[in-house]
Formats: sequence, C-alpha cells, structure tokens
Amino acid sequence: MSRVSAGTYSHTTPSGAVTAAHRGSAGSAGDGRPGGGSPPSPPARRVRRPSWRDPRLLAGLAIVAVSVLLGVRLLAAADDTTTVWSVAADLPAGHAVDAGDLRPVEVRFGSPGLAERYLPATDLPPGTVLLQDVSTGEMLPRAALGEGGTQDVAELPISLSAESVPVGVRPGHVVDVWVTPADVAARQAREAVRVLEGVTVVAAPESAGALGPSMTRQVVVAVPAEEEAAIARALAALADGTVVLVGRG
Amino acid sequence: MLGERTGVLVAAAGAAWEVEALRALAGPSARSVLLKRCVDLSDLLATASTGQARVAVVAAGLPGLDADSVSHLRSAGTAVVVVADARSRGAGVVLAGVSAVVDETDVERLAAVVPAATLDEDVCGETEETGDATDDREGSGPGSHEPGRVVAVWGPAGAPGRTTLAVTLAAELAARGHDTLLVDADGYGGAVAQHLGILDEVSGLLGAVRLANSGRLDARGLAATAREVRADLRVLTGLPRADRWVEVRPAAFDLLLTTARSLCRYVVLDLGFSLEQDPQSYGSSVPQRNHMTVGTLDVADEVVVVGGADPVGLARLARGLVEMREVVPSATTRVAVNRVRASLGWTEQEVRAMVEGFVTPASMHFLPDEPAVVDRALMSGRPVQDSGDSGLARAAAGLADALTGDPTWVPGRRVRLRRRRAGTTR
Repeated sequence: MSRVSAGTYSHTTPSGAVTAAHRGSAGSAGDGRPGGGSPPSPPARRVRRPSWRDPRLLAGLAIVAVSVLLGVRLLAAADDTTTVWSVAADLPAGHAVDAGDLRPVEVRFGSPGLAERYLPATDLPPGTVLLQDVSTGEMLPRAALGEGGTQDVAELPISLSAESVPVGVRPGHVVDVWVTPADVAARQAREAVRVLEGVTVVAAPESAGALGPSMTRQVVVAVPAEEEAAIARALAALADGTVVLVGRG
Repeated sequence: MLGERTGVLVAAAGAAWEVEALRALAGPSARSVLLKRCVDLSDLLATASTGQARVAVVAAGLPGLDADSVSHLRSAGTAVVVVADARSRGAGVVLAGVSAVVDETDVERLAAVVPAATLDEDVCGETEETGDATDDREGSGPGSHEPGRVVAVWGPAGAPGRTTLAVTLAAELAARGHDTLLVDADGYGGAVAQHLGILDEVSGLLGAVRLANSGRLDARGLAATAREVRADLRVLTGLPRADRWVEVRPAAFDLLLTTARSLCRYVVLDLGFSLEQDPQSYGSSVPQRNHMTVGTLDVADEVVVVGGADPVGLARLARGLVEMREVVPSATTRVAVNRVRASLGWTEQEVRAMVEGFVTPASMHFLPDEPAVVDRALMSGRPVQDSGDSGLARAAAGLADALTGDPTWVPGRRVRLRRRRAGTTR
C-alpha cells in the first residue's frame, strides 16, 4: 500500500512552470490542526434524552391547561339555571314577605319567558306583600306579589260557633261570610245574606282553650280597606245573626 | 521493443491541444513513442492493462476520469500526466496519484515532462507552490503540523465489541482534549451512528470518498462531511447499507485517510472483520470489499485488536492475530480482550499467556463484561463514559493512556464530568 500522492491542476506561472500542490501525503496539507482553527464540522442531529425541559412536554402541559380552562368556561356558560325564591312555609295573601320566609332554589326553565314570571332570588323589594296564598315549596311568582299591601287590607275578626266554620279552614282560604238575620223582619225574607264575598282568611286559630274545647272560634278575614262600607254593613249584620263561613274553591 | 523511448498513451477526449501534443510526443526528436490514441477512458484503461505504456497523457475533462481510474492506471504501471484545461483549473480539482500536471496552453512541455514521469515521482518536490488557485484551499500550507495518528480498531469475526470499543475510545480521546475523528469503516454494515444516536441519514463516509474520488477532498471538505458529536469529537458515519461498499474506491479511501490525518489529532476507525483479499485476475482489479480494513491496518499507527474472552472469542482472536500478521506484519498491535467475566474461570494471566503464544502485543487490556452499562449507553445513544464510572470506562481510559502516552492527563477533569453527567442520567 503506497502512500497516495496527489496533484492539483493549477495555473501556469509566466515562466511556464507547472504549479502543483502535493496534498496527499501525511502532514502536508490541511488548514487545521487541533487548536489551530481546524475547519468546523456541522453538529450531528442526535436522539435527545427525555428531559423535563422538552418543549413538547411544555406544549402538552399548556394544551391540557388551556383545555381545562376552556372546559370550565364552557360549562359555566352552559349553566342556564336561575335562582328563584321558594316559599319556606305556607303564607297567606296579605303576608308581608321577608327573606326569612323564603329559600333560594335553582331551577332551569325550558323557555326564557317562563323565568320572567318568577322573582329572581337576588331581588326582593322591601314591603312586598303576597296577593295570593302560597304554600310550602312553591316558587314565588311575580304575580303573587304586590307592594305595601298591609295598609290596604283591614283584618276583620269574626267570632262564630265552631260548627259554622268549614273543617280545615286555614289562612289563605277564600271564604264567603253569610249571615242569617236574627230579627223577625229580616227573617221573613227566609234567606241568609252574604255580607262578605271572596275574602281571605288571615288567621284561624284553633279554639284550643285550656279547659276544653270551646264552642266558638275566631276567624280573621282580610277585607280590602277601601271597602269601608262593606265592613260597616258586615259588622252590623254580624252583630245580630248567625254567621256561617262558606269556603270557596 | 521500445528501446530507451517511453511508451505513451494519449486520451485527449477531442481537445484542441491534441495535435500539438502528438507533435511534441511523437516527433523525430522525441524521447517517447506514441502507442495509442485512446478514444475514451475504457479504451485507455484496457490498453494500459497490457502493461506496455509507462505514461498516460490524459485530458482533465476526460469523461469518467477520477481518482479510482488514476489508481487503476498506476496499478498497471502507468504514470498519469494530466493536461489541465480552464475548467479544471477553475474548480481546483485535485486527483490523487497524478504524477504531473501540464497546462493546455503549454503542451510543448510534454516532450520533457512525459519521459521523466514515473510512478514514484513527487510532483511537489519539483515545483514551488505558487498557484493562487490552491491558496484558499491549502490554508497555512504543507508541513506546518504533525500528522494525526490513525488508530484502527479491528477484531475477528463475530461481534467482539469493535464498535463499542471504537466509540468508547474515541470519546475518551476527545474527553482528554484531543481532536478526534471517528470513522465508521465497516464494510459489512457499521453501527457507529446507532451507538452515538446520530439521526443524520447521510453517510459521511460515502460523501467523503465521493469527494476524494473526484479530487475535491481537502480538510475542509472532510470536516463538512463529518458531524460534530461533542467537543473535539467528530464522526464520519458509515455505509447506510452494506452493499454500498462498492462505492468506497480504494484510492479514494486512502486519500480520505491521509486527509483525516491532516484534520484531526487522532483518527479512530471502526473496521470490518474480514481481512480476505479478493483474488486479482489478469491484471484487472476487482473491487476489494475489505480494502477499508486492510488499507487502514496497513497505514495505521496503532491497531487495537478486540476479541471476546470466551473460548470462541479467544479462538477467533488467535486466528485473527495470525491472519493479521500475514496481511500487515508491521502494525503496532494492542490486544483488548472484551467481556471478561469471572464466570469464565480464566485469570488474566492465562488469557495473556494464550495471546502471547501468537503475537507479542504492545499492551494488553481487559475490558470487563458490563452489559447494563453498555445497554444504557446504547439506549441513550451516548458513549459509555456518560453513564458514569464503570469498569469499561476505566479500561478504555487505560487503553487511551497506552495509545497516547499521555502523562498530562488529569483525572480530576473526568471526575467533574462524571458527576455532572450522573445527575442527568439517573
């Protein structure tokens, strides 16, 4: 195996001498030796050891975080339940509603128009009174609420014998008050007279006297305050006659 | 038959200078005689193989002319004189093995150059390097550096651990601050790239020999085909498929070796196992698959022979050592016995005595069998040293000590490196 020699084709000098460079044999050539600025080699592409600083890992973590965040936002946006008031106890019409009577509940209404019929739980104007009776667990509709109803209603106590009261009457029931006149002239008519129509029972305490069942009961009904004439007529009629409460609906 | 006159072949590829050249070569006063005007390279090679011509005058632009064909001509005893044209001058093409170069404007000189051209002629000795065409490629010029050392890692058939040792040794040399080039020269499918986890698909070896064959390989070109793996360690990756060994022409590979010497302080070559020479018939040269192995062993400053420690490995090692002594009698041999393990029941003295029954190596080294360390290194694509302290790394360090004779080596540096790497490995 002979050492290889090499020639280079190169310019001819003016004198005609062939210029050539012998480059092959050991140590003759090369523009670089260690430390002498040897020509650089491009870096090799190599397999990388798995590292926590791998950009792909960071990108993966970022994708997971972003999707979690987006999912939370999406679910929050998709939550279309509304918080409305529900009634904690049976309340009669005319009752002044305050927050203690109510519990917030979350419900989902099928149509947006439906939600507007109910009072959202964020909102309870002071001095709200019930215009109708509501019972435990019912959602509080806007239609059942009125403003400052207390001064518009006169509470009229009626004392009557226990058997003249429908069984199970309780606050909120709407009743008519009939009187059978006691005096002869009136009795000739052979007809009882309805003195109050469609009034609401505000209170009907059980006649639980300490000594035994009482024969009379008190029932308080609400009469619109502006119907003073009706109150006066009713009081007169109630004074002499037999009073009967007739429940309606 | 020819008397004192030199037999000349001319292959001018139709160049305009041919008429003038023929007048200069075959005139009445010429000291040469024209044997044949060849029409192409094949004609030239065939005619040269008859062995009658002493000189071939070849146009630089002759289609197919490369370092390999020059090498063929030389092996037939024909010196090559190239007539350079404007294009080859511009490209600065360098062909290995050319005895003389004459410019096409100056072909009268052939009358003097051709009879004097011989195979052993050193063109460089006759002429001063003045050409500006070479300046930018030559750098600081010849002779300014001592040549790098060629360390061949060879081993007999089987898988004694040639590549593992070559990679470990190269990494060790690089860690000591020696500029090292690791060349995968295994003609049977090298695996250096896999050992170092290199993903580049391009074969550095094929790229470099292609440059060498076309005469364009210099230190810069070699550096560009190599890949830097870490500080002071470059790798020339091997054949992508074993059957592409044909492309590694012997002349080009030899030029690659000499260029590598000029590029790096140490050139570590991972060789194939076979030393077999394909028989040459009728002067034609058949391709030599094992030229990379044999040619490297021939010029290597150091040969590290790797063998397994088991009975099969040692038997092959013994045969390999004998075979190697026949092929390359002069190489300085160091023997590395790999995968030494206690379960084999042989002491180092017994193995040493067995090896020394065949050759007297400059040194013997015993590499312990540490499959876990090697596996970790392979799986991470890093040299064994990166996995921390191990018997294998220490044995490689011992081998590097013997190769370099390096008293300046400070172990403290490696301790620091080891500690740092241990943190990232585990």
